[in-house]
Amino acid sequence: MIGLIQKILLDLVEEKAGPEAVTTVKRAAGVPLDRIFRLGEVYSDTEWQNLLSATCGILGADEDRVMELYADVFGRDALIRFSKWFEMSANSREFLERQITIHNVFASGVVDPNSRKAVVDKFRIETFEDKIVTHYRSPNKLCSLYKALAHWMFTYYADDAVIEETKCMHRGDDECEIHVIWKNLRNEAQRAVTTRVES
Amino acid sequence: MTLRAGIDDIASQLGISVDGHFDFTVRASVADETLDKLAMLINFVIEAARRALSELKDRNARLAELDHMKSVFLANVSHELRTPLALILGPTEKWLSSGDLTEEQHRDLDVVMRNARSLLKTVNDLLDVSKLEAAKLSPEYACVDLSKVVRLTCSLFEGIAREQSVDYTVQAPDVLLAEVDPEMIQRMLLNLLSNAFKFGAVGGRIACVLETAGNNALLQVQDKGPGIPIEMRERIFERFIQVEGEVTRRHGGTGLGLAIVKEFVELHHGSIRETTPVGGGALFVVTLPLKAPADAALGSAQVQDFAPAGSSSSVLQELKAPMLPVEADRPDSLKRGTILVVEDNPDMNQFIVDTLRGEYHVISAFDGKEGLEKTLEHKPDLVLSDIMMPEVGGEEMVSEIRRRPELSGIGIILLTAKADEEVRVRLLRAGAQDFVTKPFLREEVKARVRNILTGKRTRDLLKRELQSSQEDLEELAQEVSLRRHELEKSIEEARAARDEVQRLLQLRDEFISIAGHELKTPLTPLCLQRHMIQKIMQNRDLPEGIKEQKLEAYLEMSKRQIDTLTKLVETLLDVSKIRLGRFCIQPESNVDLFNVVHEVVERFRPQWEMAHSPVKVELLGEPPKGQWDRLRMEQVISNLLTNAIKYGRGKPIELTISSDLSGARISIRDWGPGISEADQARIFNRFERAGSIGTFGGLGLGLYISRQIVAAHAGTIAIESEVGNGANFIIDLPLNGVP
Repeated sequence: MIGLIQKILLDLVEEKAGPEAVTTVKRAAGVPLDRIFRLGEVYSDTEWQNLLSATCGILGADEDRVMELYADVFGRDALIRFSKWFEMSANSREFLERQITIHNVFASGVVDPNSRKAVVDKFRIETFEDKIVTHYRSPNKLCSLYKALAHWMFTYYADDAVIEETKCMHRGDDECEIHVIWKNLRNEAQRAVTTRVES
Repeated sequence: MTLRAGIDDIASQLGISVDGHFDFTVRASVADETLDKLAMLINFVIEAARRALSELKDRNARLAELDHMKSVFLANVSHELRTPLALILGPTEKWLSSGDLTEEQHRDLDVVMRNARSLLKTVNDLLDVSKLEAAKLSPEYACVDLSKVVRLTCSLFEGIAREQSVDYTVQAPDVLLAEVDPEMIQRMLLNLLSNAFKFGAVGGRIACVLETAGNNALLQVQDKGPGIPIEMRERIFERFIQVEGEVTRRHGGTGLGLAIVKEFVELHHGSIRETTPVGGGALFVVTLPLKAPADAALGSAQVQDFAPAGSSSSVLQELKAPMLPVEADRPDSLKRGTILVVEDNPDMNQFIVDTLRGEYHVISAFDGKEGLEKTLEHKPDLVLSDIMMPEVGGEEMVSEIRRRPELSGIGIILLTAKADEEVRVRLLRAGAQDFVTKPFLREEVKARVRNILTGKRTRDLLKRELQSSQEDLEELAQEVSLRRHELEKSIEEARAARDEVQRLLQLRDEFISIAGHELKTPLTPLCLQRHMIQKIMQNRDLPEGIKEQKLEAYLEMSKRQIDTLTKLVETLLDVSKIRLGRFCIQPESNVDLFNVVHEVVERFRPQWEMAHSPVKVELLGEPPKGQWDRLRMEQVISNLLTNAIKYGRGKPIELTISSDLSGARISIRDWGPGISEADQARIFNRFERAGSIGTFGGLGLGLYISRQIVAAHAGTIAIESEVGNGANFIIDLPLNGVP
């Protein structure tokens, strides 16, 4: 798990429960208190699971709710930190189509090729006329995070879309298959033009 | 560590990339989120470069593998081709030297021989290339007299030089010992000289010079041809590269000759360059070390005798001028159509001509330009053309032909060695109708030609039929148009006639009404007068004298009414006579026209006085006297005067009588409302009148009868009138105008 994810989680804890809560969560998760999570570095998946569990406990919310809150903090952070990616995307569909590449950016600092490949191989995307289908495989099983982030994007871009998860690792499937279907897309005309030019 | 130091550290890490390797990542040594972000994105770029490089390496490796496979394949194919070629060349050579052949057989076998040798040269070149690529070719060094090798090789071209009137010179030292592979040197020189003879124009100059330059031998081959374009100087030594131009296409070739020369030279650790000598043309300068490399084994220390190898004959055959095809045709061949064969290879051209000459009139051209010119000149039924040709290629020629309307309908079949579907589709779109892929069978060519010509003939026939039908249709359309016009005219005339009939019917009805009224008018007083007379006659108390007076007065009045009735009846009888052609006049001699006019005027005095229209009669000159029907002339003047009184009431009336030697003229002028130009044309017709029925009485027959009377006297009656300005009726009568 790359450090940005843990960092955002701790930002959420601090925002909702204060700086002391961060120390509490770190201690509960068995993370050194002086640990600073670096953006592009890989940290233990177990450590992430412990941090998530401790966060749910201190915020008194289940994992889905924490993911909703997390997505909001993540989105606002990304908007400042990586504003260019938002500028490049005319709507939520364009952003989510770039999501795999963006995800791989975070993995590009991983020195070990196998570890890097493990991160890179987590996502695969298929695009259709009215939807995209994201295939997700990870021992962290964070499909709820993907869905929460997707919803945040819909809100940010004011797009009308629904998410259907036809397969889920939590239900014993080998991967999560998430269908994002747009009913109304902002700047659709611009996208259509772009598509036509490309084709 | 400061932020600046952190950035500097990342920059240092990036320094590794100067070796072109990207198997590294950078890491911010300072725990700063901005530096982390920077490092992360740099890593992403490095990753992208790493992936691209890896893909490139994989692709290159695959290409190298394919290249190797191609070389092996080329070598195998070349080997496989050499055996059947040897079996073609051997027996063909035997037959050619037998002397038992007819002229035509000899010529055909000569074509076979020449093309088989050309093919053998191509095969040998390809084999050399594949060997060179596989690094299987290395010089077999021997110590030889290089001068002797050069002179012997050069001597092979002396015959060609004489045939082509080339000023051909060879300069070499008496002896020049060198450690070289003599066969490679021979092949190298053959290729250079072959090029010189190909590109050096007929009647030009070619020189081959061998000399020493320090530890090297310097071999120069120079021609006075078109030279090598500057931009091509480096590239001409690359495989498959040829200078585009007419000469190249005429002689063909694979573009391997100079590449092989360069490879052979470099295998000897020498060099080759091309330059433009003073005076133009091309100069190839080969530098060869006189000594073999120290580690090379020398095959023999003896100077080897040189014998021309098999490949030289192929090279020389290429340069010999082939027999050009003779345009052939039979007296009846024109009936089957004319075919233009456009093919730059003379043997192929001849072959196609021979294939078709039995059935068609066949014309030859050797490039697209000539092809287009002959197409314009002969307008053949079919053009059978190669695609790759010098100057103007087949594709361009097809476009030019199809661009010109006067050449439309000419069939086009293209000959191509390329089985490229895209080219075919493009050329079919450009106007070609069929393809024949080389090599082909004679029967295939004949069948395709027959198909196209049959189609063309059918099209021409249909076109002619269509044109004929078109002309018929046009004629029919014109006829229909004419008929329609006539019909419209007839309808128009019928409408006019119908309108006229309706008008006449209306006039008749009006006339009947008027006639009834006119007849009734005198009858009413006549009845009254008869009644008064009866009453007077029955009155016994009335004294006789008074009785007589009264009876006389009433009888006089009755007489006038009877006269009026008589006139009306006479008028109607006149009209009837005129209509039945029985109208005639009874002229008298020496009738005084002035007297006639005067009497009539006096007779109508009560009327014109009552109308307050004083009548002035003027005689100009002597009273005209002639042969006229007096009573009828009175009738005419009465009619006109009555009209003048009727229409010019309250205004004077002028009658003028004049004459000259040829005739008399009477004009009756009133100052009534006048007659419009349109009415002037009709008032002399039956039942016509100038004014409205309600305003002016009369039968509307007076002018009609008047004109008939005047016409019966060979005279004319005319009107001069303007609306609002009265009317002037002019009667012209010949003095003796009665027919």
